Amino acid sequence: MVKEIKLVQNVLKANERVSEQNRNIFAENQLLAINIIGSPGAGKTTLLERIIQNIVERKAIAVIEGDIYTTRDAQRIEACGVDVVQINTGGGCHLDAPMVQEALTNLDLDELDLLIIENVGNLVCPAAYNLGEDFKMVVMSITEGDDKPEKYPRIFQEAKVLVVTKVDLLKYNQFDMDRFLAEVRGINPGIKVFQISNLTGDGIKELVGWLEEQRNYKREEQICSV
Amino acid sequence: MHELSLMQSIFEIVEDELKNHELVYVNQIKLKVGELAAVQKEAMQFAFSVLQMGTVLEGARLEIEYVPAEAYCAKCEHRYRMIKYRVFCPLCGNVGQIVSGKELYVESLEVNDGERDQTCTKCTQSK
Repeated sequence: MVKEIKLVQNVLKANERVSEQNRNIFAENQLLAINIIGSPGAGKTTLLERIIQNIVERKAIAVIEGDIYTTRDAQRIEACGVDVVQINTGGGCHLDAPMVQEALTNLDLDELDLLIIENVGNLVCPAAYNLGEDFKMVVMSITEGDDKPEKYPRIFQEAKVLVVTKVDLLKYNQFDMDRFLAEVRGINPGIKVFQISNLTGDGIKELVGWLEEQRNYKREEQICSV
Repeated sequence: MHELSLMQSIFEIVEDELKNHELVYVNQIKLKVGELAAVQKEAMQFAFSVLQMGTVLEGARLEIEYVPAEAYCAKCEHRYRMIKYRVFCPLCGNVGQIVSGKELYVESLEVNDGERDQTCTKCTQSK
């Protein structure tokens, strides 16, 4: 006999469960966790190098590097003098919460207060998988074109902060910043935006200042709740 | 792009459910997918057709119901379709709350509880 079974089960429930566990681990350790998402070549790793170079208290930072096959990015970040854990997804297009949880076992969480997770280069899939992070940072370069927000709305909707990179190339490009930002804010009116150049260093100080603020908020939040 | 891994999660959910009910055949799986979930219908169907081979889901159908993105403006008490993912209320221009479009869940299963049924091709074949 044919019958119907009602289920209503979230497809991502397994990931959501582990991401909640990760969130608790971050909270217990007063650790601000950021999930960086952007296309291959957007400048995520270079941005990360710039951020780390501009932070004075570098000892308390660790990075989780997501990459499909190589350890190239991890080697670059390690050279900046912070702890790095490499996750190779072996073909997978995104990091998920269990991968991050396993990576955490390689870090001395007590000693850290900022964890930056660089996701696999991809503007689509990583947006769907929460890792337990405090917020998502979307990194997009102007050479990708000003029409992208509407083509990849999910990530622009989910992110708390947008970093627009390669602005030193604006003079060689047809990228219309006003049009782009209007489209971004139509999808996510509250998103924080930084325009930077990894090459010239423009905008990096402002971004790092904002990140330090977020780091302090997280510390204070924990002190209040204890 | 991640539809294959989503489909693997769906298979786990369905296989668990079948075990719980001690069932063997599934005729149809009903999925609800929101417009904002960044999931492509065709890629889901393709992932389903690839993964179902040799499993208890072989021969089953996948039905996908698309849920449009909608937001609600508390000031105007107006629920509206989000055109091009815009959250602004078309009446007053304020930012509304997204109320639908993020769905991604297995809604229901249509199963065959195994009693011999003359119209069931699987049963007649195995006789």
